[in-house]
Amino acid sequence: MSDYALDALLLDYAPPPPSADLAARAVAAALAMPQQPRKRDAAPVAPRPRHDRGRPWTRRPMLVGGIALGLAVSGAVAATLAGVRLDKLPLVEAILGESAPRAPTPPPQAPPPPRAALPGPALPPVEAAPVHEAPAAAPRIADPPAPHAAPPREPSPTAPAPLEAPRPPEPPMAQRLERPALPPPPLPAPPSAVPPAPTAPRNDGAAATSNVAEARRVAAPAAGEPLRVQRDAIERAERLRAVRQAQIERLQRVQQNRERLRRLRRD
Amino acid sequence: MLKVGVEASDDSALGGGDTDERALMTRVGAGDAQSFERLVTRHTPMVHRVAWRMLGDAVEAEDVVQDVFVKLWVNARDWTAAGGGLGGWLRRIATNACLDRLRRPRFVSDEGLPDRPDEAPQADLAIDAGRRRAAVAASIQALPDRQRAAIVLTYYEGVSNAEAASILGVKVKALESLLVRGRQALTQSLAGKGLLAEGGGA
Repeated sequence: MSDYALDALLLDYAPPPPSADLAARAVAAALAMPQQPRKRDAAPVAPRPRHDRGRPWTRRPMLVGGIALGLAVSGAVAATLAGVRLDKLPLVEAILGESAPRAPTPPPQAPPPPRAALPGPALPPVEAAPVHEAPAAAPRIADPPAPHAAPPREPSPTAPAPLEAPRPPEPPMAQRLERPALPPPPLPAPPSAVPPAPTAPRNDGAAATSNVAEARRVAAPAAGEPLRVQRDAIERAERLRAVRQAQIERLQRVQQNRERLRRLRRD
Repeated sequence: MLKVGVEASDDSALGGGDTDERALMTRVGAGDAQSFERLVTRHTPMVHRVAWRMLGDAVEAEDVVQDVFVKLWVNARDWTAAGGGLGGWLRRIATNACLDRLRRPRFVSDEGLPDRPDEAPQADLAIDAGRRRAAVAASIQALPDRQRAAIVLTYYEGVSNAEAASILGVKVKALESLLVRGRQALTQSLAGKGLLAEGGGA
């Protein structure tokens, strides 16, 4: 194809001269219209291209918002899959610590424990160990034979002999699980605030309590007792609590397995 | 690529420049009718050319001219010099106005104009030239709107490919594609009418 031949033909496509009064008519038509007031932050009058695909991101709030939302959701899912507990993050923990209600200050009765008291759920009774003994390893507790008829626990050979009077029979495990949560134990007062008291009998049988808080309170020695003994007592109580918790979880698993077996047999 | 039929710039013909146009537009924004009249007089031929070549109709082209200058007057206070200056802005407005008109349904009469005897000397040559012009005009008008706009802007108005692409709102590559396809369609159409050989040459 010859460009020159085509261009020569295209030269024939010439417009006629405009009307003589076209400019005057255009001026008259325009002056009949009012001018628009100047807009604040007005863009240049030059119109946006009709097929504008190059707008900046800031002018697409829906798109930006959608991307931000998607990132937030996928980040949360990824954190969950990775096992990150959000309440363990320092920032979240700080916020939760500020917003959590504080327990009322108890009257000064006992020296402060070395660790912060854990607001635990409903706990089964715990024996108070004699404070003068060295901390022993947590006794291994065997799986109970049945979930609804938990036999009274036998004392572990490694654990010290119970010093208390015979306890009332424990309720079945299901009832124990449904027991409402007890309020956290009151924080003990600093040792300086403890009034001088006679040395408490260490192996008092009435020291057997029904929960960890009571155990702690009983385990709290009188003034002048070494701090190490107190710490040992508290650690022992914590261990007992953990063991009991593990026992409860194991029991739940056993219940689930039995349910599954029962369902399989039925099917 | 050759640029054919590029008319002399109206700005240079009337001694206008960017600085002068900015000053005039500032005064127009303040409501100065005389400055506006000067601008209209300076740019009317260019706007009319674009509109006529796009629409192929003198009456519609004059309507487009009026519309473009009404827009210029109404928006004069917000106008800022950008891109191709006032000329580029007017070309853009004119092209878009023409594309809008081409998309509207148009009334076409079936009746032909009555033939009148031509008294001019060498009437046969004039008739041949008129037929050729009509054939070229018909071929150009048969192009798709955007291909026609690309050819009018780049061939006849001498606008750069980048500016024409900006006016049409497409990328430069897309504009080049429009131009190539438009030329091919024109060549085929004119060859079909016997005005252009398939291999080249008129």
